[in-house]
Amino acid sequence: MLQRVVLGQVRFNLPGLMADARGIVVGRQLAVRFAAIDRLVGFLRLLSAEQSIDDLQPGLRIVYARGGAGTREAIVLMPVGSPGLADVVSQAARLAGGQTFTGTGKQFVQYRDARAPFGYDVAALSDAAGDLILYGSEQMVVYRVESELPLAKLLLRLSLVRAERRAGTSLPDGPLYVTARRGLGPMLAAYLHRAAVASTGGGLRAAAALCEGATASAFGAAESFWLFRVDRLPPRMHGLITRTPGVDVFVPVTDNVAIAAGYRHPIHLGSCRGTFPAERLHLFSPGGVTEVSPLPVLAAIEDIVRVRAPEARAATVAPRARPDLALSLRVEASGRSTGPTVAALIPWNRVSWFQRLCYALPASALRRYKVAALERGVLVRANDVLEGVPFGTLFELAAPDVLVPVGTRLVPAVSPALLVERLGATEGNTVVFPDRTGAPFRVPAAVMVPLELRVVGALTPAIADRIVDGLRDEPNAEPVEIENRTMGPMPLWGLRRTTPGG
Amino acid sequence: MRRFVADFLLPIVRGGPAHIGRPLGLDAILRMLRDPFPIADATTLADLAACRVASARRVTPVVEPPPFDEATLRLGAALHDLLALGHPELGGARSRRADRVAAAALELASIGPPRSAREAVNRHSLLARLPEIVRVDRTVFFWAGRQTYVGRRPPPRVTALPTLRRVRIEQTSRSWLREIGIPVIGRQAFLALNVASPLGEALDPLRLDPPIAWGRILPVLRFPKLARVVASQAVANGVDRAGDALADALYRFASFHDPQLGQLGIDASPEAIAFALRFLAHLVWLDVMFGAAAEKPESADAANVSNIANIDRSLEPGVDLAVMLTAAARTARALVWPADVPDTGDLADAFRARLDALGKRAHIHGMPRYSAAIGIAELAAAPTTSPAAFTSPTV
Repeated sequence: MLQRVVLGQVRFNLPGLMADARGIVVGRQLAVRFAAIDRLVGFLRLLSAEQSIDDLQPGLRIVYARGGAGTREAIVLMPVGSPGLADVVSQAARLAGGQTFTGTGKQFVQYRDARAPFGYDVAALSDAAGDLILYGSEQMVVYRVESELPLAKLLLRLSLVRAERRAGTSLPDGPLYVTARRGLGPMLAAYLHRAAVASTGGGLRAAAALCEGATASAFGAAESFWLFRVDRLPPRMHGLITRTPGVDVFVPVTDNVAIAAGYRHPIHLGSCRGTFPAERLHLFSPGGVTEVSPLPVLAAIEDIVRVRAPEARAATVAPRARPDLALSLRVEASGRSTGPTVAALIPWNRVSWFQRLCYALPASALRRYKVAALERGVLVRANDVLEGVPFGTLFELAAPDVLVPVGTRLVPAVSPALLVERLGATEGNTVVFPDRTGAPFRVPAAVMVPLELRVVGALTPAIADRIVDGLRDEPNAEPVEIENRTMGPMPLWGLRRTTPGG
Repeated sequence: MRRFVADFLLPIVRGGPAHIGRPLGLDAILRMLRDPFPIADATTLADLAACRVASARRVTPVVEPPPFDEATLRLGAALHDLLALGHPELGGARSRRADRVAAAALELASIGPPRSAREAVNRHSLLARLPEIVRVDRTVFFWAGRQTYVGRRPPPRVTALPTLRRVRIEQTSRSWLREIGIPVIGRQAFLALNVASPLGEALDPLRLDPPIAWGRILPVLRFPKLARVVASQAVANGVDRAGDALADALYRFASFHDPQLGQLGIDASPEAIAFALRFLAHLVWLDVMFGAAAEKPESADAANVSNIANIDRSLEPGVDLAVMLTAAARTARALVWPADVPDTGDLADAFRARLDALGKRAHIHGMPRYSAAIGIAELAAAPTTSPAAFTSPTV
C-alpha cells in the first residue's frame, strides 16, 4: 500500500507531496491522530514547550473523526510552516502516543520514520468517500469528521494542576493580579496603599479596577469584584494575601492571561498568546476561568483611596455606550413630485425594450442622454428632463446629482449642499437611492457615456480596431476562482436524459 | 447567453470569479448560436476576444481575434459542466444528476481534435488557464455553530454582527485540477476536452493526473509551428524531466493502455510511434545544441557511492528517456538521426557522445524496461522507408 520514498524522487502519487532540500517528503499539512483526549493534551503540552502554537495559526484544527471501524479519534490538522516543524511535531506525537501523517486536503500519508527516512508515498489513491483519508503503513483509514474542538475552548476547559511548592518563596517576584470580593476591595486597597507609603524604598505599586464577571442570564446581576495589579509585593505580605478568604492571587503568564498562584495549566499558555483575544483578561483558577471583558482600566491605588468612591470607579472601568445623535437617511413617500424626472434605472430584462426605443428617440435625446451599465440595470440620465422612457424606475433630484425615486423625498430634510458633500455626489459622480429600502449606490462620472456613443459604438468596425490595439494591455494576472451560484429547484432542466453513446 | 459569456467565459480567460450555475446541454448551446447576441453587450464579446488574443500570443504570434463560434461555446459549456460536478447542489459526484451532467459535458466536448494550427491555438486561448482555476471554500464560525460554503461567499446575514456573534471566517483555496481533481464520472469528458484542445496538455508534460497521452497530443504536434512551441517548452522544463514523462507515456501509447475515446484520439501505429520517437530525439538534439550541460557519464566510483548510500538512482529524471532513445538508436538509426544532418562535424560528434552517455545510463539503470523499449522501436522501424508522416483522423 505504501511505497518508501528514495532520495531525489520528484514525482509522487499523493497530490501535494514535495521533497524538501534534504529529500524528505512533506505535504502542506500535517495530521496527528490520537486515540484519546489525554494523549492529545499531552501532545499539546510537549509541542507548546518546543514550539509556539501561534506559529501554527491560522490553520490549526482539532477535529473528532470517526474511522471505518467505528472508533472515534482526535485528529490535529496543522500547516507545515517551516521545514523542521514536521520533525518536531512528529517527535512530540510519538512521545504522546500519537501517529503523524502528512499531505494536503483530505489525503494524508504516514510521515517518515526509521524504516523510511525520506518518507512514504502511496501506491494508489483511494476514491473512498470521507473527510480525511489517512494512509498508514498497516492500513488505510477513512474518517468522517463529526465535530471540531477549537483550541481556545480546549484551553479553557482543562483543569489546573497543582504546581510543586518550592521552599522559601511562595509567590514570584514579578507583577501579580489579586482579586478581592467587592466588600473586601476598599480595605485591601487601603492596606496596599498604607504598605506602599510605608515602604517608600521597596517600590510596591498597585493599581485597581472594579470589574464585572460573566452572567448566566441577561436578567441576573453580574457578580462584581475588585482586580488589583501589584508590583513587587513584599514577602511579608504573601501570607496575608494568599490565606485571606475572598482574596485570590494570580500569576500572569501573558499580558492577558493569569493563572492562580500554586497551580499551573497543563499546556504552556505562553506559546498560545494568539488563542486568547487581546481585549479580554483571562483568570484561570481551580474553580474555572473568569473572563473580564473588555480589558479593565486600572487606576492607581492612591487615587482610589483618596477619592473613596468605588462606585464612580466602576463606571470608569466598564463604561457603557452613550447614545449617538447620528441618524441614517430614509427615503419616504412625499405624495407628489418636487421636480422633473431626470433619470431612469432600467433593469436588464427590460433593456431589449430600451434598445427598440432607441430607434424612436430624437437625435437631441441620443446626444444629451447619458447611460451607465450597472450590475442591476442601465441608468439613463438626462441633464434637465428625461422624456420618452416610460418604464423602469424613474428618478428626480433630491439634491444636485442625488437621485431619489419619483414621488419620494429624503428625511431628515437636511440641506442639499450638505447631502452632496456627505454622500460624495461631487466631481460629476451621481448618487442613486434605488428604492425606499435599498442602500444608495454611487455611479462614477467616468462610466456615464453618451447614449449615442454606447448604441452606435458597438456596431461600427472601429471597435474591432480598438480591440486589437488594446490586446497587449489586457491583464491576465487575476486568478480564476470558482463561484457557485444557486441552481434553483430544477437544476437539470433542459438536459437530455440519454447519453451520447446511448 | 449574456450571463454565460460575461460571468463564465470571460473570467475563465481574463481571471476573476467564474460563476457556475445550472448545467448546460448541447441544445442550449445550439439555441445560443441561433439567437443573435444583444447589441448592448457586444463589448463583452470584444473583451473576451481581446483576452483570448492576449492568451494566444503567449504561444504564437496572433493578429486576428479568435472567432466566437460553436467550438468556443461547446468547449466553454463543457468546462462549465465539469466544474458544476463539484457544485454542492448536485448532490455529489456519484448522484444520478451528476451522471447526466457528465454525459452532457462529454457530448459538448466531443468535437474532435483541431484541424489546423490556428484552430488549435484558438481553442487553447479559451482553456489556457485551466490549471489556474481555484475553488475557495469558506467556513464561518459563529457562537452557535459553523457553516461551510463550498465555492461561495457567505451571505451577509451569516456574517452580521461579527463581534457579538463571534464570527470568524476560515477560507481554503485549492486548485481544481491538482488538488480537488476531476471526479471519476467526469473523466471521459475531461479527456474529450483535452482531445479537442490538446495544446495545453502538450505544453504541460509533467502533469500528474490525468497523465499526458500521445494519442491526444499527436494531432497538435503535426503542425510544425506548434511542435516547435511544445519542444521549446519541454526544453525549458528540462529535457530529462519532460523527456521522461513523454517516454513513459510512449509505453502506454504503444501498448494501447491509453484511455479509449472512440474515434476522437489517434491510435498507436508504426508511423505515429516513429514520429513520437523522432520528437523525443528532436528534444535531445535541441538540448545538445542549446542546452547548458552535457550528459554526465556514470563512473564506477559514482556507482559504488550510490550502492554504499543505498540510493536508487533509477528514479532520477532522464532514465526513461535514455532507455527509449538508446533502444531507438540501436534498432534504427533513422529514428534518432535526421536525414539532412551530416554524419561528420562538431554537431554530429556532440550528439554521438550524448547517445553514448545515454546508452551507459540506460545500461546501468534501465535494463528492466530496455526490452520493452526495443519492442517499441522495432514496431516504429518497420516502415523505415517513409519519414515521419502519419495521418490524423478527419473530423
